[in-house]
Amino acid sequence: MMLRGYRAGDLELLSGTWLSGELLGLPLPNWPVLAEPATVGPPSDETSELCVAPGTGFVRYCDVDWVHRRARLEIGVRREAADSAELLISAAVAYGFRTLSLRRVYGWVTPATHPPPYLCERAGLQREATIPSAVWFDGRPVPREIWAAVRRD
Amino acid sequence: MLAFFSEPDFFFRTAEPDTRSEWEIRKLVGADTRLLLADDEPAGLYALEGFGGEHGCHYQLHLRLRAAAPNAWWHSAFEEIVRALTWKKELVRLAVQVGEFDGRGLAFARSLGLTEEGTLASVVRHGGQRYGYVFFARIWALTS
Repeated sequence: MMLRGYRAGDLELLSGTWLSGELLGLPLPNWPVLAEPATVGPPSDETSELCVAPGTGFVRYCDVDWVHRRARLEIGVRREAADSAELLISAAVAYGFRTLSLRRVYGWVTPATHPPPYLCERAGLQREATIPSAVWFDGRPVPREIWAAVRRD
Repeated sequence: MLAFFSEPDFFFRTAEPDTRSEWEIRKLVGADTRLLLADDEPAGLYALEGFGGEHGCHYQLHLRLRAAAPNAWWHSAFEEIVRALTWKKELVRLAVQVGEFDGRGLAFARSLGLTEEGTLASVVRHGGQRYGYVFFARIWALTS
């Protein structure tokens, strides 16, 4: 899957019905009609790296630590492109390792959103930790997991 | 939007909706107001104001539907607003203030079973007389 740099015309790819900050933000089926969609801002400085996959979603590396070569990954998948989630996460991890030369790629996974676990595993990520009551979601605090991939070469 | 305020009992942040001018309506509505649709038609407006600290879990709701809207629409609008609010953050107190002159507003708040907390008397002028605001609220238990 081709990732490319953000252009002003890609703005609609930056919002959707996923939990904010999620490693793999998939469209949630029971999103309240009056809840504002999750949104990330267009890239504007060097603390994050944002690419889009046209028609599919965005990939953002935030909190980039260029010294230790690690960054937190966030992905947003548009509702109409939910089938492309696996391709997008694989492309995102490959982009982090190859293009950005990161050693460690990590992100938040929230089990309460029922993400298919195999998507992260197939992209080479592993669960490292569970943090209790880490995020408010659907009327209650829920645990969140840290998933990561580390390059071993 | 302006058509809503031509109804004499569209009490959205005002006790005298149908005599407000356009600039004043734009000020009342502001950036925090959201449009409610029913069957893809504009049905009313709502806005939430936060109170307390950065996240005080306390909000005041301004909600108004067109005169033609049945009471069931008021109920479903309220429940959808609560669902959207609690989706992303904790809610402990949701307050609604209704003018004593506002029969439909009072009927809605009472039929919904909101707690009636009291009346702050003689605070607003409507139709040449002074009225109070009746304070209603729903309280949720704090999670921690």
